[in-house]
Amino acid sequence: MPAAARAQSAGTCVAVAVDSARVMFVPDSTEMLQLSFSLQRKDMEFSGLLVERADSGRLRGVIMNEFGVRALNFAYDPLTGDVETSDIMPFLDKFYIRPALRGLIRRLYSLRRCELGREVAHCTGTLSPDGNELTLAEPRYGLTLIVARTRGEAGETQ
Amino acid sequence: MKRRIIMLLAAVAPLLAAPACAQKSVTPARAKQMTASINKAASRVRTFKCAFSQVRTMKYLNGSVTSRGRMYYARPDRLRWEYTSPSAYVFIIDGGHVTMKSAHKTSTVDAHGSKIFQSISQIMISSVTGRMLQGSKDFAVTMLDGGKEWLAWLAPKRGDMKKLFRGIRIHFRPSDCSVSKVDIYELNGDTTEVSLSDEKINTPVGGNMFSVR
Repeated sequence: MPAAARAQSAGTCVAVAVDSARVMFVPDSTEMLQLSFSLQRKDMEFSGLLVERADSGRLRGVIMNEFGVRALNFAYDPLTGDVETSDIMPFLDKFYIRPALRGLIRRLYSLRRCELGREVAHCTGTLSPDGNELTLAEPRYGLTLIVARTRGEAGETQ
Repeated sequence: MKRRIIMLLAAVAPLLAAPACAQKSVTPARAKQMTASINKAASRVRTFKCAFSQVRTMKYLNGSVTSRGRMYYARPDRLRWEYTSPSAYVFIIDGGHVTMKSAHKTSTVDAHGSKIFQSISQIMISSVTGRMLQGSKDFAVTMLDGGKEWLAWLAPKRGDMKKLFRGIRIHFRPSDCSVSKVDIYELNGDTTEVSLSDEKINTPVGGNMFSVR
C-alpha cells in the first residue's frame, strides 16, 4: 500500500508525494501554496488565485478571483486521478463546463514532463523557460489555463 | 407572532454574524446621528487614496491568503483598485466603464449593460467612502457602537446579492468618520477582510490613475 494511501486510511495529514516526472506545482508540505491563475475562452478571462493544500494524501484547492470571490473548490487524488468539485460559481456550474474543468485540473496535476509540447488527453501543456508558468490548451472547449508561481502570503486559520 | 420572530431574528442577526468584539446596538436616534456624521464626512471627500491589505479566510482549506495593493478614488465615480501582490491586477471604474488588467489580458466592459458590474462598482465606491449608508435600496443597514469604532452591518435585500454574501460590515473611526476596514461575510462561512492604511483625503489624484498604464 503506498505511503500516501496508508496515511489517508489512518486519517493523518500528509503532503502529496512529489513525483519528479510530473510538472505539477504542489506544496512540498502541508503548507498552503498560492499560484496565479487565468482561465481564458475566446475574449473572456477568469483570472485570480489558485490556493492549494495537501491534506490526507489528497490535494485540496480553491480557485477565486482577485477580490476573493470563489469560483470553485476542488479535491484531487493523485493515486486515482479523481477530481471532485464543489461550491461552483453559478456561471460555471453547467453540465458541459464541469467535466472540462475537472479534466483541466486533472491534467494540471498529472501532466508529465515528457508530455510537454504535445497533445495528450485532449490537452497540450507548455512550460515557460524559467519553469514558473504552465499553460494548458484544451482545443475541444477552446479553453486555455495558465498557472504561475507567486510569492504569496498564506496562513493558518486561528 | 411569526412577524415578531422574524423581526427579532433580523435584529440579532448582525450580532450573531459578527465575531466576538464589544458591540452595542444603538437607539434609532443614535443610529441616525451616526449615519448623518458619516454622510457629512463622505460628502467632503473629493479624492481618496490608500494602501490596503485583503485577508481571505477559507473554511475549505482551513487557512487564509493575503493580497495587498493600493486604491485611488476621485469623485464622483472614478476608482482604481490595484493589487500588487501576490499577483498584479488592476480594476478601474471610470464612469460607466470598467477596465480589468491582469498579467495576460486587458478588457473593458460597459458597466451600464451589466447589472453585476453596476453592483460591484456601487459597492466598492460607496463602501470605501461610507456613502453606502445613505438610503440604500440594496442593503438593510444596522448601526452598532464598538466603543473605539462604529460599525455598520449591511444585509443584502436583493435576491442576486443574497446569493453572493450574507452581509458586509464596515468599520468607521468615530474621530473623523472615515472607513478603516470592510469585512465581507459569505454564505459558506468564508470571510474577506479589507483593511485600509496610509489614507490620504483630498490630495491630488492624477487623471492617468484611471486609465490602464
